[in-house]
Amino acid sequence: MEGFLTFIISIATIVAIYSILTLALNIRWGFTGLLDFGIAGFFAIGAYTSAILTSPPSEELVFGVRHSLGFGIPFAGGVLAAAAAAALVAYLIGIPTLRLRGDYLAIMTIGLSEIFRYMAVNEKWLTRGSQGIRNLPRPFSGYSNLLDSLFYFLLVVVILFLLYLISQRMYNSPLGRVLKGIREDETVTEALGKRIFHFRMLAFISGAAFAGVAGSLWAHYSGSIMPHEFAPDITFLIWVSLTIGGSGNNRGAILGTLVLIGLFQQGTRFLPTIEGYTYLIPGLRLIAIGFMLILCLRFRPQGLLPEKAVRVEKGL
Amino acid sequence: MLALSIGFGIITGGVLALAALGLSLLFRTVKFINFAYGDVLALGAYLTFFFNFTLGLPLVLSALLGMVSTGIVGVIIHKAVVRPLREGVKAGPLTLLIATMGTAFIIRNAILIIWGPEPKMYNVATQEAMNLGPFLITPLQLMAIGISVLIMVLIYLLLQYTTLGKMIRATSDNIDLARIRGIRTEKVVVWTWLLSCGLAGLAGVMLGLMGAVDNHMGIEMLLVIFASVIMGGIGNPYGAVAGAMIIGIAMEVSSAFGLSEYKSALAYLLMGIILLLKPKGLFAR
Repeated sequence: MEGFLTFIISIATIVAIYSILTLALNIRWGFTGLLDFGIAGFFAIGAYTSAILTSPPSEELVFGVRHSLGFGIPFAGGVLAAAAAAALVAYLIGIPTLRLRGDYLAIMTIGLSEIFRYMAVNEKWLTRGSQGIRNLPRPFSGYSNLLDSLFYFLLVVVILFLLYLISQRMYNSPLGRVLKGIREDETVTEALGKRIFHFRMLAFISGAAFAGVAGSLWAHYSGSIMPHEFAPDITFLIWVSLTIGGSGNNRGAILGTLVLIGLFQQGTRFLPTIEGYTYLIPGLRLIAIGFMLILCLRFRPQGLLPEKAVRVEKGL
Repeated sequence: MLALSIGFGIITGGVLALAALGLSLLFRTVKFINFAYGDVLALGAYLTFFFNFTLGLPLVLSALLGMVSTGIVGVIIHKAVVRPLREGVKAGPLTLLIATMGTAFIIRNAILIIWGPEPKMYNVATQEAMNLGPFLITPLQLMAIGISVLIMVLIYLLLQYTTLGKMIRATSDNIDLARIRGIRTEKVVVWTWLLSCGLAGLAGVMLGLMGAVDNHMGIEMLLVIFASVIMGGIGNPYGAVAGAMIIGIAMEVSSAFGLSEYKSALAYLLMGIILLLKPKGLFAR
């Protein structure tokens, strides 16, 4: 029983963390129409920033290099720093890339997220390479396994809810209307006197900060991080979640993550690996997700919870 | 040392050029970026491995079969994914790009299930490198560069002088006008997919011959091919070839200076600089 509960809580925690990523993508693509394929990169920046800052200082040798990084700051500091670091990187790479056409932006962002991953593999002095950073501190430890994970899950849900409120507020505010304007028609929005670049940057940075928070929560959830966890697969899963849930709708983003990650990906974790065909089940799972994306784009492009159409007052 | 790496760069660039040429031709006609292109390339390499190693066919025949079947996979992508989206929901270029990302994951994981994660080698004799001026080159690499050049010349002749080539150019310039003039544009688009993905398959085989065929090939090459194509100006096939040579040489020279972990990052950096300074590519008309 306790094992089953821990299993459910761990799936729920993963869904909640991924939902933050889907909200991040929703701000960028759903609201603003930025074709961003670099979510995994910002997720990685958040995770590594938080891991390095919260790890205790150590003097051990890693690959013959003295590894003394680690600052031992508290968890909350790690989360905030992760958001700030991801936002700062987004600002720096946004300056050259956000002026680009949609499809160029997709290419640049997926490339940058791969570069961050190469760096995590190669800059061993900072990230310990493919060995990864281990033994990350987790808030709420020392009760029991079940209670620890339950408290952590509740914390993640509270943060998800706060970010959802921020995102919802953004969507309904005048700022959100400008973002949607950019998505629908850049030229018209610019003609109305809005600085397109400035608003795209705002959306890009907000998305990065969200993804950074998710990265930090992920690092402290799993207790160790390795570069291969931040492959473009994550970006792909988040895109499918948002598409299924309903691009442009925050509740849809969370619902899509719940359906795809919770029910479909994690929920089929109990399937056994078949002797001699280790990659069959995980591979088929991703193939099925690929088909889901294409079928969804074809038959229900608005997703499960479509974005509300804007009512326009007739007359005048 | 520098001459050696420039030599490797020319070889890498020559192979990259085939793939870049294919992606560029496709973009010109279909007007969206095919994100499954890298995985189509990897599929070509694996299918050839299947014909060559599993069925025991000679390498040249296997490569030919691999290329044709990869081209057919391209046509399937067009008929099963792209056309239904275009006709069914009037999907724009960004939606099609997202759909091809889904296709890429389907192909990548099918490869993983069928062939597993271990790198594969073709059934060829070990190659003895020989000196060619300042360069060091194996007969196989020499053959690869020879075939690349030959194929590029053939594509040039096809585009410039044959009826199909003229139909491809007309369709890519203005699909409506081409249709009005009686060109069966759907047929042309199918041919373009076949040609473009066949080129990707061939490039995959050559990359496999120079190293090994492995799982990361698709995504890694996709990024480098994008860099080449954008460098030369997207939709400009001859620019793509030049871009590929520049990227290939830059990557190998950077390896010689001990930056081999970051050679794809360097390709990206170059692409970023070009996008900033000349967004339409080095050879914009």
